Amino acid sequence: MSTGLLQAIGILVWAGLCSADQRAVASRQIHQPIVAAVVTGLIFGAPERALPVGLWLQLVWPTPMPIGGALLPDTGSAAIAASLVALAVPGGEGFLIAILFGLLVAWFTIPWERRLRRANGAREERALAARGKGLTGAIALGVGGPFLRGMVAAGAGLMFARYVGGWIEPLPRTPVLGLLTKSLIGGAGALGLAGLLARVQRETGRTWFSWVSAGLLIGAAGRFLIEVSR
Amino acid sequence: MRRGFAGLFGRGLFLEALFNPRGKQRGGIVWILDEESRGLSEEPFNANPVLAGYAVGWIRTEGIEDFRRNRSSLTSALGGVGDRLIWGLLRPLAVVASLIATVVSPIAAAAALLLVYNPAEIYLRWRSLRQGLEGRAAILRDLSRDGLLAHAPRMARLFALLIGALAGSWFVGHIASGRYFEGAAGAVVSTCGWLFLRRRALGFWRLPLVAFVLGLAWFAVEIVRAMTIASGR
Repeated sequence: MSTGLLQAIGILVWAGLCSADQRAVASRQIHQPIVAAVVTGLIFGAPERALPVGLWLQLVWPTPMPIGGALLPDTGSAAIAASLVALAVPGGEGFLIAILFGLLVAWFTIPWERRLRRANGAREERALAARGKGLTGAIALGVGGPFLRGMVAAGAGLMFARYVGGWIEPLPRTPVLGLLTKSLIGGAGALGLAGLLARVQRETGRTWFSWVSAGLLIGAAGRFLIEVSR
Repeated sequence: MRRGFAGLFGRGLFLEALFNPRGKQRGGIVWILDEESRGLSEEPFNANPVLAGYAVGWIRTEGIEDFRRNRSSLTSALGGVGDRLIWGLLRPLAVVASLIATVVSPIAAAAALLLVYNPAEIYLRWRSLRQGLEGRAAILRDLSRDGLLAHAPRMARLFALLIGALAGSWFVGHIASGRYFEGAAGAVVSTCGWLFLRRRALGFWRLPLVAFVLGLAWFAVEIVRAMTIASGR
C-alpha cells in the first residue's frame, strides 16, 4: 500500500472526526467500526478489503452503552488503525495482525480518554470560576483532544502499515491462512448474533421468539431470492 | 443574550465536549444557556445527551431554581427514557441494518447504519428541545409512559424482526454456497452463546477475547477438516 499525501491528510482528518464523534461532538455514529473502516477503505480505493476488519470489530462490540460516564475505548480509531494494517497486508495473516493492532489501539485509548476527562474538569473549573469567560475556548479544546487522539491512532496505523506491513508482505504465504479470516469472522459473527439475540429478548419480552422467527423466514426467503437471481 | 432555537440546538451538539468525572456535562449545559444557567455552576449535570433538550427547555421556561428542585427526577427520567430508546434500541437497530446490508456492498453497510440512526436521532434532539421550550406540561407528557416510551415496543419488535432476518440471511447464504459446515457451526455457536449471554453479560474486553478464541478454535476445526478431506482423496 503506497500512501499519497492527500490520502494521508484525508485519513488523519477522518480519524480525528471519528474520534471526536464518539463523545465530544454530535455523535453521528461515524465512529462505529463498520463505518470508520469502510470510509478508510474508500480513501484508499479498496473498501472491500477494509470491511472484514470493521465487521469483526462491530460484531464483538455491537452496541456498547455509553451510560453513567462509562469509559469506553475509541472504536473508530481502533477500526481505522486496523483497516490501515489490513489494507497493507493482504490475506488471513494481515487480518489477524490488523485486529490485534486494532484491539491494542482501543486499549491505549482508555487511559487517554481518562486524561482528557481530567483535563476537561480542570478547564471547566477555571472557566466557571471566571463566570463563564473562556468556556468557548475550553469547549474547543475539549473537542480538539479527542480529534488529536484519532489523528495519533491513524498515524500509528499508517506507520505500522508502512514499516511492519512492508516487512511482512514479501514473506511466503501458506494457503491454509486463507481460512483464518473466514474463521475469525465466523467466531465473531456467532458471538455477535448471540449478544444481539440476548439483547432483543430483554427488550421485546415474551413475544420475542415470534418476531425473531418471522424475521428468520423473511431473511431466509430474501437471501434465497438474491442467491437464485445471481 | 437569550439564544434562539437554532442556537440552542447547534450548541446542544457540543454538550459532552467538556465531559469530566466531577461536573459531568455541567460545562456543556452552562455553555449552551450562558447566564440563564449560572446557578448550575455548583452542581454536576448528567443526562442522556440526545434528550438533554428537555432540561435546556425546562431551565429556559421554568427558571433555574425550579430546575434545581426537580433536577434529579428530571435527569433520571431523561436517562431512563433516552438510554432505552437510543442506546438500547435505535443504535442496535442501525447496527443490525448495517450487518444485513453487508450482503449488498461495503458502502451500503456503512450507509445503512448512518441512514437508520441519524434521521431518528436528529428528530429526537429536535423534539426534545421543541417540547422542552413548551414548558413543564409538554415535557412531562413526553417523558410519561404514553410519551416517547410508547414507541419502544414497536422498535423492539422491529429489532427482533431484523435480528431474525440477519440470522436467516446468514444461514441461507452459507447453505446456498455449499458451506454446510460453517452454517451448522454458526447455528450451534450462536445458540450456545445466546444461552450464556442471556444469563450474564460479558465485559467490554472479554467479548473480543472470547470471539478471538472462538475464531481460532473454528480455524483449527477447518484445518482438521481440510486435512481429513485431503487424506480421503
